[in-house]
Amino acid sequence: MLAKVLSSAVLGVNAYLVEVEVDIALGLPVFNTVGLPDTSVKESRDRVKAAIKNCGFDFPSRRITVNLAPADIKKEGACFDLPMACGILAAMGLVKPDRLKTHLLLGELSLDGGLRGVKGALPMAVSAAERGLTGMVLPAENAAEAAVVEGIQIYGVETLPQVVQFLNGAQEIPPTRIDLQEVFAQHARYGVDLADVKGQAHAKRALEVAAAGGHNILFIGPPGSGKTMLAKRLATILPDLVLEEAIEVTKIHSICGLVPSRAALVATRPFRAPHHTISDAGLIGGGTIPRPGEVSLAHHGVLFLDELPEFKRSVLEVLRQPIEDGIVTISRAVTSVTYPACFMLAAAMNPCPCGYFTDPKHDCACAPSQIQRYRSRISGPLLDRIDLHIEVPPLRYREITTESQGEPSDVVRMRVKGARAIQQERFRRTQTFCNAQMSARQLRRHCPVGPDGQRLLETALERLGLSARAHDRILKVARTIADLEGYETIRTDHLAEAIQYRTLDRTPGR
Amino acid sequence: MKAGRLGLGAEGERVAKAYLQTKGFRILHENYSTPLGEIDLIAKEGGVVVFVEVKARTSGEFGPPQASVTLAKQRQIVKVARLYLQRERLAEVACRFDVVAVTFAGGQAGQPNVLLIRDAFSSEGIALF
Repeated sequence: MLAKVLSSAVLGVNAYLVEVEVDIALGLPVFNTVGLPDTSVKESRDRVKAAIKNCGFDFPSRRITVNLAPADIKKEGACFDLPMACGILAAMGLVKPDRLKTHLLLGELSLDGGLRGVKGALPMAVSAAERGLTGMVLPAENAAEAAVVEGIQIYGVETLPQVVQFLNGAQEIPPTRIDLQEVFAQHARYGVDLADVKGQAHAKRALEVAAAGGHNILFIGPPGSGKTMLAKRLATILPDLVLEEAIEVTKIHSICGLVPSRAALVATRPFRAPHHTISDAGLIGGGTIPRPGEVSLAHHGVLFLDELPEFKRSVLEVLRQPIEDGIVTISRAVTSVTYPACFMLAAAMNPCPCGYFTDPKHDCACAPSQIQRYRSRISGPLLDRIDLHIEVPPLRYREITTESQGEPSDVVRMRVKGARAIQQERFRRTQTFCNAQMSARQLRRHCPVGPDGQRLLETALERLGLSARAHDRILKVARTIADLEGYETIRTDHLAEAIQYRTLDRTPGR
Repeated sequence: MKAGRLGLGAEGERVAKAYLQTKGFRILHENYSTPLGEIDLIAKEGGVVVFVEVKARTSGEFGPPQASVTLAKQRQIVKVARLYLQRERLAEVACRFDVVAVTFAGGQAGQPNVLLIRDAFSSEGIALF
């Protein structure tokens, strides 16, 4: 009257095996769940009961105890419905125990015995394969996602009776197989293209530089000038994801249940644009049982913060660690988990509270003190991590109606790839991946400036009131521009272009 | 309460008992009374001990009879059942809670409508003490 079923749960970005033990004993009829279940797991007994009854089985009017081992980690979610139901049926002798020993079961039950999709199918498949299990039975909705993992058979199922038949060997289900390369190639397309953006040649160039060197970028411009549109296209000009990166991205999306139903991989670079009312836990992750936040969902992609000064100060400050380290560690009383968070930051803001400070066609209604207060909402340390500040002017009528198409993303991406290849060669055998991450030491080594360039930098620093901090940023950006053009040394025109990407460092009025 | 209404309950229990017997239940106790409360019928069907709550009404106008087996009533029945099992030393036995709903549509003299709800509720979420 005892049955054991294997299932799985997610902790951080990885999954661990959960043994669902079901005991049916005589006595007053009760259905108890132990092993630190949270409310959503406790509720599953009502779903399990109804599903078993509605599939034509008898639900035993006995004393049922379900244990979720290991008992010391809090379990959540509805993915234990199927293992519980199969455990009860196995304890009643309706399911043979042979396949239960080698197969992982996963799935939420609906009251009619149908199966609904679950979160975290990919990391669970990874851990099941690592533990040497031969198969995994899960809702058809998630089958493609789990089939990415090699070395384990994935069986997508629709209903509880189908699972019972499979476990008893009465009906075989063809395992889901996918051709990774083909799926990858098929999905690696973006819905938007840089050619959609009219005019704004200057901003597009800055976007290209940002993508080439992995620099964070800030757009400043009046409302409606196309800041958001530009930022959305940043992901499309970044180098394509490689398969390992795509799997990492898919894992995080899988945990949050964001992998589209019946899709196998998230093959494009993610673009996340959280609203400015987001909390710090929402941005970097958190909760009593930690969950990944927007920075982790933007892993290997772009995090776009529109209306940057409107974000809460505390929220912006928590961004510093992920920007610097590419990871986020969330420590809570129950546990501490680390999520990857290697993203490019794109931000947009208006030049002043009313938005029209830099617009030649509108009058700005803001007092200088208001503008100052507005801009000071973004702290120095954060601004320090944004290499490019770019002014996006409002479009003229002629530019809006022009028929001429800009360069498509594919063309720009080829140039970006070229520049990235140079950087890869430069930072071989180091922890650095791109120009934006250069340390002060690497900066001196890789960014030598000739006498002409030094004179230009000196003038710029004096005339524009730039800081020492800005000086280093200018060098990094100039390095990227030189890489884009294929020059070994940084020339004066590279420096000149880099200098004008420091709008916000200038003392106002100069 | 009028005598007629007390009579309704007794009449309902009589009808229920006869109905269960035709269904093959063996009646063990009627109105099993303890300090914790009362169970209308304790029966045995196959090897299963069945605790039966009987509800009778003269019309369905205020909902069916079984609707008035409230959570509080269920709790009370479960407590009494526990006491019964302990007194009889029956820890290892299968048991069940049924409800028999009796409706006397045309007054008490008319033909009663009987509904047996097997496994109507369980002892889930009801504190042990």
